[in-house]
Amino acid sequence: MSKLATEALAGDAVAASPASARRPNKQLAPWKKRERRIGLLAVMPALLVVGGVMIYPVLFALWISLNKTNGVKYEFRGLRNYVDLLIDPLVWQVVLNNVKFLVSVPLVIFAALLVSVLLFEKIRGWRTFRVIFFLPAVLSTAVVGLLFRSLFGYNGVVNSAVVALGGQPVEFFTEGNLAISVIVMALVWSGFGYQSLLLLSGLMAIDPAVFEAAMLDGANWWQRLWHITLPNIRRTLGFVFIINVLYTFTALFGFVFVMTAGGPGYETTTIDYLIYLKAFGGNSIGSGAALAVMLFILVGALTFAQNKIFRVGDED
Amino acid sequence: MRKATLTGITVAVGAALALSACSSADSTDTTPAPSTSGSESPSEVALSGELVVWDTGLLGKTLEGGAPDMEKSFLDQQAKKFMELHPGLTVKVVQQAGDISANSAQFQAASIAGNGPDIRIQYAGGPTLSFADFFTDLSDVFPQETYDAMSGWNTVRKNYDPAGELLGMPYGSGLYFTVFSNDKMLKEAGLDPASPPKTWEEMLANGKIVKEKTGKNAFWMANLEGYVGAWAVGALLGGELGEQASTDMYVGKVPVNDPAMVKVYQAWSDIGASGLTNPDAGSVSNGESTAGFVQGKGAYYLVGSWENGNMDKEFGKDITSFYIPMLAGAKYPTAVAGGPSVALSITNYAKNPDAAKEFLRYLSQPDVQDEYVSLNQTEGSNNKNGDPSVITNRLLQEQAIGLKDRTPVVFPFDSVMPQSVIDLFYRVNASTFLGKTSAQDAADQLQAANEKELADR
Repeated sequence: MSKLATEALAGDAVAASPASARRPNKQLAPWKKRERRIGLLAVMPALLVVGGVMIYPVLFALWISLNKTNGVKYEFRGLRNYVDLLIDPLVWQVVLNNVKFLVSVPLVIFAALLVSVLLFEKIRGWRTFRVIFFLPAVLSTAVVGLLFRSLFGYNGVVNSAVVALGGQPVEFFTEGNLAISVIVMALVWSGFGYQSLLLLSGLMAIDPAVFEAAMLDGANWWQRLWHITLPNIRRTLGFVFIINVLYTFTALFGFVFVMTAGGPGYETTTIDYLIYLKAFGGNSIGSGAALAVMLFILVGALTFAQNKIFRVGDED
Repeated sequence: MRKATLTGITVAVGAALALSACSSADSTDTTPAPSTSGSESPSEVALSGELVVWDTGLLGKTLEGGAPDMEKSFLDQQAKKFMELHPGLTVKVVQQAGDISANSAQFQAASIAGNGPDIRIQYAGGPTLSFADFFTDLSDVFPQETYDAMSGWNTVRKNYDPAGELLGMPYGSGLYFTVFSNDKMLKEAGLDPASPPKTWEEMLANGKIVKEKTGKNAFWMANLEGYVGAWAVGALLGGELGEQASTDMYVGKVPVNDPAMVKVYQAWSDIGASGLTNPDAGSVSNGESTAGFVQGKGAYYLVGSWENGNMDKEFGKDITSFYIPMLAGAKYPTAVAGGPSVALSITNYAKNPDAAKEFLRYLSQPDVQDEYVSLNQTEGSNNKNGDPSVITNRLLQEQAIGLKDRTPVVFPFDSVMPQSVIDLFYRVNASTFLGKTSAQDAADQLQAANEKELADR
């Protein structure tokens, strides 16, 4: 028996005793201890990054949210910031705005699903289309926002077309719902390419034999789509749905900042934009942090619920 | 105490332009520039390193690509001269992008992180006082004669308290809210540009005539950010409540939702609904405003004296300016809104404070201030040793003369109030104009925001 195997057996024997069960680490074989140390050292950089870049800021934000502060002076006020936010009608109006933006989720998933299925079916020129569809995803939010702002501006291309067809120019950015519609279009346009690739990866993971068997059984394209393709990418679809809902609550800032600045009034202001306004515009960093914490909890709860609904973690 | 203090501000505002544009003859006999050194540093200061200056488009100008416009940018010109005086020093001028609210947010965020500029240039009054925690006291930076020679210091003292910390150096005698008229368009409508309207309503009546006779927009406005509303509301409020209009609101003596404010907002809302403005007024940004008026998109242009240079250059003799007229029946029918606009502050985390102080001392010299006046032609110097002959712009000269007959001079709402209230002010100005927010609601929102500030102060 080799030395290592002997040590391992000895370790197992010791671990079986009640006393060692209380202090298992002390009884570890030297090689195992060394292995653990190496493992710990190996993950240390990642732990430091996660701790420094994620955990510390989150805890610090939590602390800020319990204070009245402009970033320089701090005055502890407990949960008062949270209470003030909960009774502030503006916060509820902004939450409602975010809910309106949720319309983008089915739209982007539908567009992504359509594109991914067509690419999966290898339609003519699919390689070129794959690049074209992904192009908007590499543009920055600011560029996409400005592009759509120009397109839908009073003197933009869309209004030029409207006038050419005999209509009156439309003020897309001075009416809340219209402005939200334009932002949603920008969101869908810039996001569907990336989501398509995610779905395509799910599609490519399906065993081709399943399709071949279905075809031999006489299943048509729609039947294959509904009974094979979609059920098999359920988890990918669920993931895409979750990240899109998450985006809708946390990643609209850039579009809103560039396209409407939250106006007119607060009709296109989203929660993330309101956090910015409160923290840096309104000089109420504590209140902004409290809103950020509330958003964090909301998004966490939504993600958890969706995870349950889509059973993303379950095996097929 | 505060009321007296704030009264002093408005008096200072009124005195400022008169001091510059109509100063006594002895100011033409310009004495040699005083030493640029203050009480803190010797005159032969060896400066080195980098001096970072953040401007918000107030003293500097950029070309379309973002590079400094060395022909027109006073700040960049002076930075270059200052570097020639101090070969070891590099002055880096950064123009902050975005609107006023975005600029403020950027500066706040940078200041919290301690990596903002050495010097920041922003509007005097509320926009300076709001960042009191980030600015250093300038009380010992200049020699006493500089404090004595320059006006407007009260607009940059912490909490407007005469004994408060000096948070910035006021620059320029003041900018005033005005209306420019495209004389050719008025004549086309049968109106006489030489007889400007006496009241707001008369101006609207003229606008209707322009619309009916020419079919063109009576008013050209770029109100996406709500700035036009700020100028109109700020001026009209002065007509209703007098010189203390905004300052009384700042200290909470008069509620922001006073009936006078609601009345003014109603007038502002009405012009938005009148059909007399360009139909895209709510979505045209301030950056596009001058171009639109120059292109003949409206007969009247509500803006401020900072456009004197552009208007004179583009229209020559075919442009007239007059101060924004008050509402009919206003208690103060000859009120005018404006005042010291620019302030230069040194941050309390500045990496090169000695260079920052020296640069401010350099800029405070009367002849350097005259260069500012001469280059921009938008306002006079706030230094009593300034040379009034450098004012060559016809419009600025006429405005200076016209100002003599205008009282009271009101330091406008968005110059006085805290930044958070100002940001909301712009927002409701935009939404009230579009009919999205009622006049009463706008005033109530502002009152709530100011109450919060008062509670925090």
